[in-house]
Amino acid sequence: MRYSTRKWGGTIFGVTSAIIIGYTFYMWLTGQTVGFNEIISCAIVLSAFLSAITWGTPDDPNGPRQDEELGRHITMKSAKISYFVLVILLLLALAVDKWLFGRENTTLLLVFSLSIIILPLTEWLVSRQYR
Amino acid sequence: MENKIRELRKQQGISQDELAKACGVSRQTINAIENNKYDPSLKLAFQLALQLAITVDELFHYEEER
Repeated sequence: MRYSTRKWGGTIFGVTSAIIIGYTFYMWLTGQTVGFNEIISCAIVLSAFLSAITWGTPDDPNGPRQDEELGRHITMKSAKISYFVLVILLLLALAVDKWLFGRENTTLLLVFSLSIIILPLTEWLVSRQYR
Repeated sequence: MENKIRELRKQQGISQDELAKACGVSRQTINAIENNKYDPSLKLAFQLALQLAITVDELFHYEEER
């Protein structure tokens, strides 16, 4: 059976993600500093892995392509869901900072406030195109 | 919105993959439309109707939501 591009991509990025996340976890377990680079690397490889298992390519007819109709629909629906998840996560981060660590994180509060404004602001800007 | 794509496609001996290629979309798009999980754009609806040699209003069945 032919091994599709999506499966190849998924396998390569899956193995890479497992190695990087595993190594980061090992560093944390052994008391080494887990910093910006490690966390960003985990996020990037996981993002690449999820993209690889989601999207098809022109030579792989079994996955939706990002450049076609259903792909654009999936992207738009996912963007809206992601936005609300992100707003909730920001609120949770604020709550954790306030109630668990007793800190007033002004930067986080500002980002959370912006996250509430940014959707209606973007909708207003986009709606102007259709006047 | 319900449609007759699967029925007509099978009558004409066309696979989902072939119809998808003819319309420039993926097989999953055709599958999602056939299973009423996704309503196609007007452009794709016309392309599908053209490929299946039928009119758009015969291909899709619209019922007003109550």
